[in-house]
Amino acid sequence: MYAKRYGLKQYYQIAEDFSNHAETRDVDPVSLAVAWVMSNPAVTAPIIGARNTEQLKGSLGALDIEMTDQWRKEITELSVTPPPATDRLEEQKDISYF
Amino acid sequence: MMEYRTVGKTGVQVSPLCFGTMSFGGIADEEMSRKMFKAARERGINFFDTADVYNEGRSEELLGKFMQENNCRDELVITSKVFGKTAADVNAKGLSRRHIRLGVEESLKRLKTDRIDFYFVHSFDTKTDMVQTLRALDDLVREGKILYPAVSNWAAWQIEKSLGISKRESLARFECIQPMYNLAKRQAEVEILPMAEAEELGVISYSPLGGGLLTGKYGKDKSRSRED
Repeated sequence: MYAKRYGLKQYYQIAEDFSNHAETRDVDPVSLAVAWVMSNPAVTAPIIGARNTEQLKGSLGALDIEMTDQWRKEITELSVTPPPATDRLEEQKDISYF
Repeated sequence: MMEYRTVGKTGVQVSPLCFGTMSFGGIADEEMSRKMFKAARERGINFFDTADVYNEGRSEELLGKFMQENNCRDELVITSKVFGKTAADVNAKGLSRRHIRLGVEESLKRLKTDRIDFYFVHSFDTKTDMVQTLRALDDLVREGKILYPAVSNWAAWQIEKSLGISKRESLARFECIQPMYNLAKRQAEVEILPMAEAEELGVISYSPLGGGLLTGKYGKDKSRSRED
């Protein structure tokens, strides 16, 4: 299921860029990925899952990351912003939670 | 000190992380699940997500067991879900009044509690009239078996349609949504998240790690072939 869900090539580029970004910042990418979701004001709480306590520790580490607007923006730019619902790219503006 | 957040406009306070127990009784055995539950509690997590279909009910059973062992049911905010096939019977699935009624009773038994805080419809059911589903959930709210209806994996237009019906019919509305959202999968930003803000819905998003994509295993000098 995941092979199909995350099958697009662009996802692997994002994964690689994100991984390198986390390494540069010397933070656990797992904690950082969760912290990025958590810092979106529209999100109440991301759901974290784990198969063991070691994995869980990485996700819980998101609680210790102090995400700033600037850092959030840098991470967001590693990804692809989806076009607006109208598909009028020229009218795309930063949504309130960026 | 944990900074708690409010789920939509319900007034219910939850930790900024929700622990998803999909692994309980599956890839995590009982002892490992118990350790994870404890570790989450120690970090102040008060919010636990499960579903009737996770490991054929074992996830709910273990979550129920751990709440009982720690005598902490009243301190936790728990979810469960209905929709997926739970038995061989042809009707043991979907969002019909019939399956919702059987589904919630079974979930409550496994969770060893008398109420589920947020009860999610797990997916959209094309065969069932939305009004029927919303009425069935409203009945459960009135009976106190669930406190808030919630919805996962529906399109924004389907959720908006339901909110209109709930208002018109004076039924309990969906107060929380559960969409997929991570750095690689940002479709939710187009319609789902702006809708949630406009309607003051709680949002507990799943797959923050993109199914393992964002765990760092695809970085420089690392193999780009998928392991799963």
